[in-house]
Amino acid sequence: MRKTLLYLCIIITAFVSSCSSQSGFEDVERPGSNKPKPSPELEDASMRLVSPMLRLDYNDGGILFSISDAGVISGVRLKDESRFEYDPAKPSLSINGRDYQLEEAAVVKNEGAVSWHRIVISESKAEVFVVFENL
Amino acid sequence: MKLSCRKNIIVGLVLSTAIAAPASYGKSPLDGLSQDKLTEKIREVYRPERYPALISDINNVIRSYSGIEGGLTIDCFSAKAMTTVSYIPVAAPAWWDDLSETAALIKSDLHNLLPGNGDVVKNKNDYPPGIVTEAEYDNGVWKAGTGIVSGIETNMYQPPEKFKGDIARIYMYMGTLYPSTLWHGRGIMLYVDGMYPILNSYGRELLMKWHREDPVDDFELTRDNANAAYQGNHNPFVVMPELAEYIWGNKMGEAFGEKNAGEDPDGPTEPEKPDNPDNPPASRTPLKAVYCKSSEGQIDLISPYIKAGSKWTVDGKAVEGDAIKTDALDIGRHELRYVNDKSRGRIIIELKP
Repeated sequence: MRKTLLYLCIIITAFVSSCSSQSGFEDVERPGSNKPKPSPELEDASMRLVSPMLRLDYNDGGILFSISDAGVISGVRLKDESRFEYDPAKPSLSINGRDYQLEEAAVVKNEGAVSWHRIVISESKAEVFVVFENL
Repeated sequence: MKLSCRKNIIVGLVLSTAIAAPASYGKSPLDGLSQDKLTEKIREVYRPERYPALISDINNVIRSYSGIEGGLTIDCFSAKAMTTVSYIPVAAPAWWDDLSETAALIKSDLHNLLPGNGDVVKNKNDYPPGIVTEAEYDNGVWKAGTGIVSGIETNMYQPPEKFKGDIARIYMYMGTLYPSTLWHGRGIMLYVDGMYPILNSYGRELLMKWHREDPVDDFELTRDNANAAYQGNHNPFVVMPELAEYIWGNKMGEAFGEKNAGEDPDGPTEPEKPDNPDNPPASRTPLKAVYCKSSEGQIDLISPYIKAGSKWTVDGKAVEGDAIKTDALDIGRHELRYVNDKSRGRIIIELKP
């Protein structure tokens, strides 16, 4: 009797496992997952900095975007000197001269010459996007 | 001043064309600042990115702006050709604390060096500039001897008449970029300790007088551009001569740029000079977002954020030099790109009618 129950348990466990792997819910975010939510920022390839502290859109004009040989990306709006500097290698981010501690920093998308850098600031948990076209 | 050599005349003519900007500065990082805030910002924006490490580097830069045919260079202190490159520091390194880090840097700052032969080194010594009343050395172009500084007779040198403005702007640059908390030797005759106002009353009066009497000319612009191409910084008193007035002159204490942004309803404080080699343009405008075709003849491809000497394209077409005539562009938006040995970047500007 005990042996029969054991076999029954194994069969039920195998069945449940097989059902869950074919359920079609693999892409659903599970609680506790670190995977970032898809952001609308990923749909826009224009060069920019998006943050709660400052937004710089290259296409607005008058904004100098540059990259150093070391890969440091920077942008400055000439009329008021609002600026940012992002070094993906360290990583480090400064906006208007203030350095921010970072919780996360990663390239989340590459498409042609455009790369999307997603950064999360430790203190405020604010999400920052640096989208840069490296031509 | 004009040097009688073909190369410099050609370079000068090219520059006078390239720098035919109106007498306005547009938006500058210095705008709105005055007194100590202004000099502090100058130090931040106009500091050299690098200094020449080798004497041959210095020689090459000097050759690039004062060289003539036959491998000779012109001595600014005799107006004669030198067979080998020789130069002198204008502001004496002995005025700075020899143990400080600054002392080592100022010895090789290209903006402080002028072509000059051994006679200059020997006779100029670490004297302050001034009007020599009793000459002990005089080659007909410059002299050294004694004169009066703040009521006291002292050793001094009197620079060549054609270079007194150039030399005044060098002292302004050196004092502003490398202020000292304790000036040494004869440095106290020109400068005051601390970050501001840098020049004492004697220095202020003398240098502003020379600065006004001998305005920036093609040779000085050529020299400044050559220095900037190596060091990555201009002498701000050469590219913005009006700046000195805000620190030590008639506009002392006023915020810089407020009357230079083209928004003054009373118009410019001085009439604009015609564009010809004898009256070179007074200033250049750093890159900005919007230009007006009817009032701005050119776009100067310079910015405190971009290393001097960068290569530029406009809408994909290469630009020769560091300026574009607005006549060559259509009304609308244009993309400017630059590249140099350290970085590359781009910006969209708008040209309005």
